[in-house]
Amino acid sequence: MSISNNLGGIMLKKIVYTVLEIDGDYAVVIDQNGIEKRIPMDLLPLENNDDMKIEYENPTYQITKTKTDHKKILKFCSLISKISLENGAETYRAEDLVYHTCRYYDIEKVAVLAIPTGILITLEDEETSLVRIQNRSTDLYNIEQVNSICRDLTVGKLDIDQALNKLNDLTNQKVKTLKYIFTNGFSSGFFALLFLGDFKDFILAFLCGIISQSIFTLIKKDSMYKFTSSLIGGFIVGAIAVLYSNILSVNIPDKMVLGAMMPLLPGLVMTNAIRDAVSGDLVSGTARFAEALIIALSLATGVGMIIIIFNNGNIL
Amino acid sequence: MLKEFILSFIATLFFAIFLNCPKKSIAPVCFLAAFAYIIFSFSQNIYTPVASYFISTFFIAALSEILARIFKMPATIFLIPAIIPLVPGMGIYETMINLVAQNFEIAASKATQTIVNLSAIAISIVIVLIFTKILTTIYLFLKKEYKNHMRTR
Repeated sequence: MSISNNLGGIMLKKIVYTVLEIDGDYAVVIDQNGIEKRIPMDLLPLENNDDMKIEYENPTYQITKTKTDHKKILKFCSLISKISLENGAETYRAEDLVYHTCRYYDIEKVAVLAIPTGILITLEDEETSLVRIQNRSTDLYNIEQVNSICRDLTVGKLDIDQALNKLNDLTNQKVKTLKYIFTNGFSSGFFALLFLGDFKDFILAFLCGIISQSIFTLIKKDSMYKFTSSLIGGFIVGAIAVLYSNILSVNIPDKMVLGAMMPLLPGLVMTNAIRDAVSGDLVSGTARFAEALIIALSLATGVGMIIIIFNNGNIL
Repeated sequence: MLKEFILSFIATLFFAIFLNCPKKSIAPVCFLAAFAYIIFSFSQNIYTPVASYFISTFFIAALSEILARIFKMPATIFLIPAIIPLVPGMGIYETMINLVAQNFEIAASKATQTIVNLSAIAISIVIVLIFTKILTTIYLFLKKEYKNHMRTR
């Protein structure tokens, strides 16, 4: 069967074919109207068997878009949504990243279900991946990077291998422990000053921030990290406050407690919970609300327990 | 006033670095937080606390959506660090300390206040989000009419 006979009248039009499969010496293709044809491989500019779209313009064929392996796309999608959820992005953002990527690669049927503890992605009812998310923290740099990688991929600046390499670089970043310790200390201190504290509040809150953050870095890999960290953080804040008030026999320095509590409060989780719940991700929204509530409760328990035990419930 | 501006600026600066904010967005975030805190403390003289929480959060949320379009970054990057000085930590602390001291009536009223203030913040974020969605839809609709493609983000 020769092609010129088949295409007779519409020779001058540009036709886009999609390769369905390679059958021996023939390629089975389908055009926009859904008509299947068999084209001899000799006429096609296929270098490997992975090319998806070809364009027929009298009398030559040209490749317009290269087909990428679905497995690779799936790997990219699961990695990109995993990184974005692990670093504190909203759920709908993680899903959107997958949809954008799949739209770029002309995958018609995509289903993504992302919740704060895991992601399920299915491409074309064939390939599925399930990713579990254990550690959730907040890293705005990673969120920004993931977004720009996805954007670069969908405008064609990066190919999928480069994008995958960039994502892997993101996951293998070095953690700058000292930077986190000192910025946490300073932000606690300045929050204490902002809420009308004086210099001793600044110093005490700074100490609290430094000590609690250095303990957090030790237990960061634990799966109960969020709750243990707020509990321990509360303990440290309460302990330093009680110690100070007992040694100098003065009131509990409440401005200092307030300042030191500020970085531990679940403001970030709350914000994401609201944004998720409004966007229609009800499961994620309620889950994050529960997370915020538990963090706040364990923080309050941490501070309150110390004051009950060592100060006998006396605030003065 | 100036003292509050500087202190909230510096506190947000360190907190943004702590959250590993991208370098390009640190300065706008700090200015956003500082101006919002000024608006908050200024409007507390005129309105009730709930209203001032609402207004200042509205300011932050609306501007962070605008900045997100300018810098081509997710809005969360601006919203999360800037909103931190406004979290009613004082209410949470007072609730807890009154519970510990067994002043249950004061604790209950403080807890109610805190929850109302938190919901003011939440509703303000929600309203901005809904407005943004409506505007984005209109923008996409117009763009689809003229240029026939609708991928923007």
